[in-house]
Amino acid sequence: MKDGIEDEIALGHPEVCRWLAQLFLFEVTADQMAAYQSGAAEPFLDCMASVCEITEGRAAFEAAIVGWGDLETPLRTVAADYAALFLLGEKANAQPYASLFSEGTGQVFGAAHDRMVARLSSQGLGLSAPTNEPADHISFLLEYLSVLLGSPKSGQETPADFLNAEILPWFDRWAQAASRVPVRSRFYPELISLSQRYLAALAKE
Amino acid sequence: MTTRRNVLKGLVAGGAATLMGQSLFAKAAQAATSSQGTWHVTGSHWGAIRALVKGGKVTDVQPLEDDPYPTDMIKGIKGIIYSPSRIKYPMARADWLDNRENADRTTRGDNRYVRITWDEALDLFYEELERVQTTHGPSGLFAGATGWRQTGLFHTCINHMNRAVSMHGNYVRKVGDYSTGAGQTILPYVIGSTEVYAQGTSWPVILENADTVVLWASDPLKNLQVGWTCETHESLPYLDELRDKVAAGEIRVISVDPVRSKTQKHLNSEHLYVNPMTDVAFMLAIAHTLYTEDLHDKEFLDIYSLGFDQFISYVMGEGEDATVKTPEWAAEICGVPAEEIRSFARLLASGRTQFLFGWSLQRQQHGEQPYWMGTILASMLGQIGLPGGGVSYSHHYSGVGVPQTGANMPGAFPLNLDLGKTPKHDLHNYKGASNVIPVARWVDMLLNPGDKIQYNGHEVTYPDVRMAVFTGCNPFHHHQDRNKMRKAFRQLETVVAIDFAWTATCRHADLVLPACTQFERNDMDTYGAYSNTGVVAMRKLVDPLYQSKTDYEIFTGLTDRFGRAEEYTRGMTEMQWLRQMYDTTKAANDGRFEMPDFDQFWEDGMVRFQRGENWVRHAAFREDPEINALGTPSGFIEISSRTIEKFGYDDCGAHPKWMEKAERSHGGPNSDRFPIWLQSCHPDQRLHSQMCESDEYRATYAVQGREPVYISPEDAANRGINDGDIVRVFNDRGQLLAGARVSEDYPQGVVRIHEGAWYGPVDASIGALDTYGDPNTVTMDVGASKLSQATSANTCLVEIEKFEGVAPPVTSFGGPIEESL
Repeated sequence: MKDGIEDEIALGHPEVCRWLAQLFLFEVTADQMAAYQSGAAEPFLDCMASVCEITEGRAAFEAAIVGWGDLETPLRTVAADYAALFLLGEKANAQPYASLFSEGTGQVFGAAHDRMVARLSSQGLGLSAPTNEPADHISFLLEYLSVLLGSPKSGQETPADFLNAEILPWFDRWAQAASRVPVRSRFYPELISLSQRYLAALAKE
Repeated sequence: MTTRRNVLKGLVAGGAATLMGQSLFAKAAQAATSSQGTWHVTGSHWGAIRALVKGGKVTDVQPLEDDPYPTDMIKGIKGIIYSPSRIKYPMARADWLDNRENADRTTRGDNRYVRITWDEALDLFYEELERVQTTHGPSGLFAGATGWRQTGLFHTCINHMNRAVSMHGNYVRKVGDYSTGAGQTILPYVIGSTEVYAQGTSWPVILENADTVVLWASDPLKNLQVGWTCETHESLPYLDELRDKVAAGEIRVISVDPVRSKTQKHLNSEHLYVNPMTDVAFMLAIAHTLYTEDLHDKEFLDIYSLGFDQFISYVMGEGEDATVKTPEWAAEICGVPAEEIRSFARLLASGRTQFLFGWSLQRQQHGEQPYWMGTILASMLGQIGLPGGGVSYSHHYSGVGVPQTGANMPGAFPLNLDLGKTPKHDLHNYKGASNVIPVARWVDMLLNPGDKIQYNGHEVTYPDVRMAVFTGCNPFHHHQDRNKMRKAFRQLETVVAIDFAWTATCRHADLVLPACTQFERNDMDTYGAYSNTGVVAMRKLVDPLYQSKTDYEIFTGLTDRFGRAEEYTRGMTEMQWLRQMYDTTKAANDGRFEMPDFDQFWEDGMVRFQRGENWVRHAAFREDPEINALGTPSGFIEISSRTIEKFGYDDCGAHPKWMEKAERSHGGPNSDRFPIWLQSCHPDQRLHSQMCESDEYRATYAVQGREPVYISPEDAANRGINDGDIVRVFNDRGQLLAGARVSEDYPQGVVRIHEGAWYGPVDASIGALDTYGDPNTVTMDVGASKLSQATSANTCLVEIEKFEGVAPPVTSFGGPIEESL
């Protein structure tokens, strides 16, 4: 690091997953918004494109970022989209919890959360984000996938196994729910769409 | 799976790094958790429970072993804690955040929110209090609405809000409540206390002495599932004893009710059907029979009451209406044949009769009248103050009738400022407006600032309120006429709501603060609100979910912003408060009731006291009415009231009268357009609106995901409605969807939707269809009378039709959903 800018970074699937994890857990900041508008998402999208066809989705995603310029208060608008999609609503919206979409109890902190807690605990890990969110939040699942991708160990669950067990069984339903939520910017819907294609492809890699 | 990585350099790398943030995981010591989990005792409105906590989660909830009658509702508790409707973070309405008092208020209830930090949220809360106090004065702030909160004496949210907001400034408050507004206003004039919240004659005394028990619009088996404090359910086995006595022919129990109640069916007792809202006509005819057949107790009336002559003159047709209140006259109104009225009156006078009135009866236009008549009938029978006789208005509530131990119970967190303290803004100029509003009139207040109304002998002038604070309270459940409410909420510049779930009130708020549930904090509670059976330790089961906080933390943070946090907390932590509350109680009980030290109590989870003595309500008055005078103006039972007469109200006069309602089924006004009476009494499977958000439990009673509307086979057949259909319930005030439950328990012209169903309109427009089935979408919002200005929710006519087409999805749960895009 110098002058606050990291001058070298290795970017692969682990980093893409972490990028997605951050996007689904926190609102876009002003700095991040500026970075996106300067094309900072490109390396991530390139990496996604290395495993699946995303030309149309990428264009739509990038158009959404360009579209921020037309918004009166882009930061507030995107934050309100984020809230509508991920913080509010029940069945009609898209709170990103595996339990909600994969267990019929109508409750969060379900069995999917328990399984994630057990996974993390077995590796001496815990959730560090100050959100007190359930461990089956899509962001924690993606972060865990990032860990698996970044340091594969023999005998350990493979990224594909994890994807097939914990993410893909409900991701499509979540994406469908998200598509029904009214938003002002297409940023998140396109991101979810890209993620859907990317994760499905990743499971086949 | 490949993990190819490109090495990025320079600005590209910097940009990418900005987007990836820190890892969401950290090294953590492996928690030594028992695979079996740990059972903890805690309390709730639904009774004392044991909760199994495993891996930081509540995984099972069971009733305490000695709960004699656990309620099925405890199955819904997990669904409260882990509801997707939880408010996770402080949230602000986006437009309000940018524009504050100049924000667009027409989109309330259908709007966009953003997450903010707690610091931002509390700063905003404080800034708004400052703005309103300094710009509009105390008449600009309403912080008076309250309701059933979560249990726990320390964390009782009403007290926290009142104390904290009072430290900042004065404000408009409320008087009365929605449950018993008419009853608690009229009865002090009639029998000397509110009665509705008074301990009643002990159940064993009633069982031993009563010949006849009249359940008048009362359904204790349903309502005693919950209690104001931690419920013991000790009163419910008495209903089983009553059932046995009914079966043995030792007691007759008659349920006077338009509907066959859960209690009536449990007791296998008699049912006396009365047309809705016509009880007063029925009662006047009973009085007529008692009087004309010389069945009334003249000696009792002479010794213990005043004003019988004036009342009976009215009954005998010597009043302005020149109508004799004969059974024949009443039969035309109430639907009970004249001879049956006479027989019933004779039965009442034939032995010891205990009246047990429910509260729904007084939640109607002129709701004071049937309660007043209840006391008069009991007085005419001469049995007030006798074992197993007289009148009660509370036996369906919170274990009333269970003998009281006499033990002192812990106090609560202080409601007010400490002695000698004044608010930061000690302003008292309400600009000619009143600083206290009858609670059921606050929507009128918002809509009509400056208007004057009569209330209980006073004139109330509505203040010009700009900001409202609600905590642990959901007026979008308990107030009437949603569409009127939505208009009223548009008058408010700022609404702050503090709750743990996204109620409709939160959805209409500008600033929404996430409180944790009672299961995420330490507290203690009275075990048995009237019996004082014990004290229950409410041990925190799990840490506050998401970023929710206790009310104590929230208001400590608020008061800290104007330098009063130390005063607010008295420098104590949650556990220090609990210890002090317990120790004070222990000292007060010293020598009378044994209590372990706090640590032992906290470990045990409960301290119990020996059973109390049987007791007879009003027995002391009966024994010596001079020394033990009632709290009425005269000290006697006031069958006619000079005080009320002097108020000069046209809708509540010197004595009870039959008055026609604005709308009434079974041939009454407006029944040609809307022929069905909608009853919106307390629910059987939630506590008001609490637990409606518990998805799995709601699914046990919902019909196609909607709140049930119970309807007679005749009404259903006439409208082509089958059990399980989605129906539209409507009148001129609003419309809602509900799921039809066809039931023989309901007579033609009567339907029921339990209050507390969460409001979920399809959009923000006035008149929008409610998608789940909140009955207050269609109820009438007028004061019961100028005396009480109480709710009139049960004066409500509707029509019902089968809903054709694709029903819109339910929008009630999970928070604001923008539908207008």
